[in-house]
Parts: sequence; structure tokens; C-alpha cells
Amino acid sequence: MLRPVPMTRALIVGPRDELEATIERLYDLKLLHIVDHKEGEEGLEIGKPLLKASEASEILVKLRSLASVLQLEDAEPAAETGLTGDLRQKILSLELNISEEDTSKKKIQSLLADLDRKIEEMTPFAELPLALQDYRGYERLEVFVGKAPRDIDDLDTVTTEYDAFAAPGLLAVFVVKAAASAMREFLAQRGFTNLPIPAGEGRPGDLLADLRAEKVRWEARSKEIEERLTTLRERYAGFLVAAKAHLEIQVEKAEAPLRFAVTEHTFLVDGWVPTAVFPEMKERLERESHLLASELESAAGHAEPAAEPPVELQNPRPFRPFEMLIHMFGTPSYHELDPTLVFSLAFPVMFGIMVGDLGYGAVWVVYGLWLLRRWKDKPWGFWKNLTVAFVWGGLWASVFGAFVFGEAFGIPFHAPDIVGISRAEAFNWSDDILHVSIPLFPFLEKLHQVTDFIVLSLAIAYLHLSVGFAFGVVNEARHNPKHAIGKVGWLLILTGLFIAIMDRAGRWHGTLGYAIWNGLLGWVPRTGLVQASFGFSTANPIPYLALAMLGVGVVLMLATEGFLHIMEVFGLLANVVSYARLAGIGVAEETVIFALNSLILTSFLFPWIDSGNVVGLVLGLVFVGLANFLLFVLSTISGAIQSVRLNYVEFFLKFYKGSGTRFRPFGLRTKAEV
Amino acid sequence: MVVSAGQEGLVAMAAALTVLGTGIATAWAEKVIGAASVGAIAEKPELFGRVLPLVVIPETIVIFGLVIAFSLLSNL
Repeated sequence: MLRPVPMTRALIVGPRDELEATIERLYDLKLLHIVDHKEGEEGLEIGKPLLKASEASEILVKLRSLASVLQLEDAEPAAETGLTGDLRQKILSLELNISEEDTSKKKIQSLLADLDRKIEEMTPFAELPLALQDYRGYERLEVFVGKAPRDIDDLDTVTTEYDAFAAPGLLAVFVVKAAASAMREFLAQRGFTNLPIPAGEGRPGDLLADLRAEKVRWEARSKEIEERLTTLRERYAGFLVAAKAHLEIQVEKAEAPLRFAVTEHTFLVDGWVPTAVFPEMKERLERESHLLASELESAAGHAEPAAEPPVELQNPRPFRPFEMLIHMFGTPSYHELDPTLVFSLAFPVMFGIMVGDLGYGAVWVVYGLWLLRRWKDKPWGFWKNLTVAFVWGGLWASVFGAFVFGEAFGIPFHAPDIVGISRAEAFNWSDDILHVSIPLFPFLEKLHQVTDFIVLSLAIAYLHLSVGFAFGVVNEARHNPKHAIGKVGWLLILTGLFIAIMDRAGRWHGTLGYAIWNGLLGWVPRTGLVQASFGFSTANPIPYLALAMLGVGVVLMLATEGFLHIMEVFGLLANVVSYARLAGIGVAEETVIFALNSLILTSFLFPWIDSGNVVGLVLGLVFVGLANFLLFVLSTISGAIQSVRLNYVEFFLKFYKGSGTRFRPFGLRTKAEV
Repeated sequence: MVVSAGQEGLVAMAAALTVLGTGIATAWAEKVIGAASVGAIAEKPELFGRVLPLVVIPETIVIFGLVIAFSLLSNL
């Protein structure tokens, strides 16, 4: 569980005439993670791709371009039966068809763009009462045509030798060349911008109508082609997708020799196989074909094998979906502990504390299980894995909501035990809704025991981080005992800090801090240092034990990791306090839903209860639904992001490197690869 | 810390200022990281998983503010 699947490095040797058969066999076995051979390594060359490789890749390139023309990304593959016969011939004739349509489609598109530009140019001229040839061919006149942001009517101030035509927002001025530059300046100052005069002759209005008619014609043509392409897509999509997958496999197989080492008469394949199946693979390869498979080294036996084996995580089925979130951060290397198990406990628990509501938790469990049932046949993708994580989270949220916080949908099971609260504040499940006393009483009321909630978060911080340091000790102990001692130092520092914090938090009777300090931490000797200004009075001095732990821890850490790491002690304190977000988000969400519930209760539901106002009931239920939906979504998002963050940042950075490569056996195809 | 009568308002004000300041600081920091992250995701969508925790890192600041505010208020 904490270790990946043990791997054995295998070497497969065979005569070259068995090469193709061996590739087929390895592909079917789907067991060997091939280590690419590098040209010239140990004096061996790499193999040459099989003959069919170039032909298959050529068709594949054509297929991919067809797929992009027909936009086939999400099409379902057809049954394999369509792949018989001459695949190449079929695809080439299809390509001829489709690429012809595609070319004419592109041509028409550029034509249409051209027409659009011409129409845009012509449109303003249609407003003016002149033909196009009237704008040019003058010896003594200069012509200005363009847009005028407002009416320009005092052209007389420049010269009297001009003629002007205006339309709304447009102006055409014919002026003698002598006054042209003065006129240009005058117009520019009034925001006039020149328009290019379109080529051609005739009345712009007629020309414009012609252009528009032409556009309509071409658009119809384009639509026709689009329809033909759609028909083609519908007819051949399944075939093309299936053919693409088929060819990709062909290419992968045909190019496999590039990853092998070869001599004149033999080939060698180097790779990793799960140790458990190695004997079976060896036996099959040697029996069915004349190959030699031998064990180069077993990674399980050595502390440090020469090469880093690929990693295949192995976790109990219910926790496997969490592996996705581990890979997202980084695949663990073969030699470090797999954190999936801790993650799959910590993530849902933290999610549960932050959501902390029986209602929302139960909704996630039911909704998540329903989704999983619907997706039964779907492969394990991102959303499916995430849904499992949320079902776990919902389960813990229900547990915390029922037994710790005592509430569902933001409404408490029992009225809080405080004098002088409003009617909305006292609204609860037992007295007002179910009229049955729920036998569950809150251990911690979010809104009234915030300090206790923070103390609870800090206790979880200690548990989580100490597991992290313990993992660090184990990881480092294998190859660098010095660093392992450093991690022990950190564990001591963390424990010392935690004891001091709990000592301070446990000053008042009746708080959660008091319970932890005198219960779980009751064994800590009480004598210590008085620091009244920090709140450590004679009644609760800082225990000498905590100080000793801090001191020894710091010395160990500095001795093994270097002097500069002293700053990291404050970083660790910050990490611990950072877990207070569990309380922060829990309280924040409770406050929002409490506020919304109170508003809805006082404005809609209490009038209904008091005077039977049915409108109040209907509106009230609608708003209650909306408010709870909002909170459900909000708490899911922030709960998930924050608990992922606590695991990635606070927890993983204590021990986890995540620099491994995933086990990808030859022959196993993933969606991402396609 | 002993709060003398009539000065509770100052404590409440201090708590409010703490949350205000840390809230603004967090928002500003997340703005900077968020903009850079969106850029990175646009280039490489598979970075989403790595970028998401980076964006929420500054949230710790406002959590500190919250803790300090509550320890101030618990002295009332």
C-alpha cells in the first residue's frame, strides 16, 4: 500500500528474424515498460523501424488531416469490422473526396471575406448621389471623400471655389488644387477621415446590390458544401476514428525497434516488468518463441538499483481514485513512500470538517453514488475519480455534521443554549421541523465556539504534519541517514510547538483546548518557564519538556540541514496556523447560510407559521432551495480546493518529492496518447 | 490582556482592521499569482493541477488575520 508494485528489470534477447513476432507478442502481453536504448550505448546500435512503418505513418498523417477537416475529436469509433480490405485504398479515395470539398470550402471562404470587404468599402458611397467615375480623373480639382463626425458647413471660410455633397456622417468635397492643402488641414481639424474610393464605374447603389447578390449566391454554395461535409462526417466518422486507432497501433508497433538495441543477428529489449508476473512472461516468451528472457536486476532486492524503475501504485480499490490527485502533484519515485493512503484519509476528513453539515454531506453521498452508477461503463477519468473523492468527503461531512457540529442544511438539531437569542437563531430541527428530539447533541457549535474549532484544526495540523515528518524519516533513512535525523529534529520541533500551543489554549476550563491539554496531553509535566507577557502565567508555564524538544530539535535540524534553515521554524509555525483554515471556512460557510436562513425565515416562513400565509411558504421554500444550493456548491469548491492545498503545500513539502515516472507497459494505450 | 470597561469597541475595531488588512493582502497576492497562472494554463492546460494550489497559497495570510481577530475577540 505504501510501496509501489515491485519491478524487475528484464532483458529479452532473440534472433532478428523473430523481431516482428516478438513485438506482436509483447504488445499483446502489455507487461513490459520498455527502456529506450540509446544509439551507441554499450556499442550497440538502435533497430530500424519495420518496413510497414513509413506507409502506415503516411496514411496516418492523411487520416489526421481528414479528422481535423471533419472535426472528429469526439466521435465514437465504429466496430472493427470496417477495417478489413485495403485500408490504404479506402482512405486515399476518401481523402480525394474530402480534400476537394475542403479546398473549395476554403476558396469560397476567402471569396466571401473579399466580398465583405468590398461591400464595406462601397456602403458609404451608396449614400452619396454620385457615380464612382465622378470621383476621379480631374486635372484641376482635388477630391476628398470621407467620414465626418459632425456636420461641417463653414467650408466657405477656406475658399469659395469648391463643391460639396453630404450625407449623414459623410462628406465629399471637390476643391481647386490651389486651395487643396488648406482644405485638407481644415477638414482634418474637424475630425474628417478619408475613405478609399472603390475601383470600378457606375452608381455605387447598383454596384452594392450586385455585390450583395453575389454574396448570397456564394453563401448558398458554401452551405451546400458544408452539408456535403456533414454527410461525409456522419457516414465515415466511425470508420475514420477506428482506422486512426488501428493505424496508431500499427505505427507504434512498427516503430518499436527504434527503442531496441540490435546486433547483426540479434535484438535486445530492455525494460521493467512487475516482479510478480516476470516468471510468467519469461515462460511464455521462451515457450512460444525462441527468445531468451533474463532478469537483469530486481529492484526489490537492492537498496539502490542502477536505474530508476517506473512506478505503478498499488492501493486498495476504494482509495485508488485518489492516485489521480497524487499524480497531479507528481508521481512518487520508486524509492519513496506512496502517500495515497494518507491522502485518501486526510482529504475527505478535511473536506468533511470544512463542509461539516449532515445535509450537504448526504447530498454528496447520494448524488455521487448515483453519478458513479450512471458512469459505470465509463473509463476512470478525471471527473469520475473526483466524484469518488467527493463521495468520501460527503461521508465524512455527514459524520462531522451529525456527531460533531449537530446540524443539517445550516439548521442546528437543537437550539443553542444561550439566553436572549432571536427566533430565527433558535430555529432548529427538533422543535420546529421534526417535532422529535434528535438524540444527537453538538460537540462543537460552529458559530459559538470558534476558538474551540481553531484548536481542533491545530490538533489535526499536528497529526497530519507529524505523519508527514514520519514519512520523511522513512524516505531519507534509505539513502541519507543524516537527512533522516534532520526530519526527526523537525518532528521534535513540531511536537514542542504543539505542546506549547495546547498549554496556552488549555487555560480555561470547559474549552476543547482544556480537554486536549488535560486529556491527550495529560502526561506532559507541568513545571516550566513563566512568560506572563505571552500568556504563560504561573498557572500554565511553558513546560520544560516542550522547550527541551524545541531546543534539541533545532540543534539536530541545524546540524544536519544547515544554519539558514532556522528561518524554517517560523515557516513550520505558519504551516500549523495555516490549518486554522479548516475552522475559518467552516465558520464562514455556516455564517453565510445562517444569515440567509434567518432572512428567509423572518420574511417568509414565520409569517406562514403565524398566519398561514401560503405565498410566504412557497417563496420561502424557493429561496431556501436556492440558498442551500449556493452554499452546497460554495462549500464543495472551497472545501475541495483548501484540503487539496493543505495536502499539497503543508503536508507534501515535508517529505514528498514526486519525481518518479509512471509505469506504461508497451501495448497499453491511454486516451491522452490518442 | 485586560480590557477596561468602555474600550471593547477598540478591540472590535482592532479585530476588524486585522481582517481588513490581511484580506486585502491576500486579494492582492492572489491577483498577481492568478494572472500568471491563467497565462501558464493557457500555454499548458495540464498544469491546472499544479497551479491551483499555488493560487490559494496566499490564503494563509487571511487565515492568520482570522485567527488573530478571534483571539482578540475572545478577550472581550
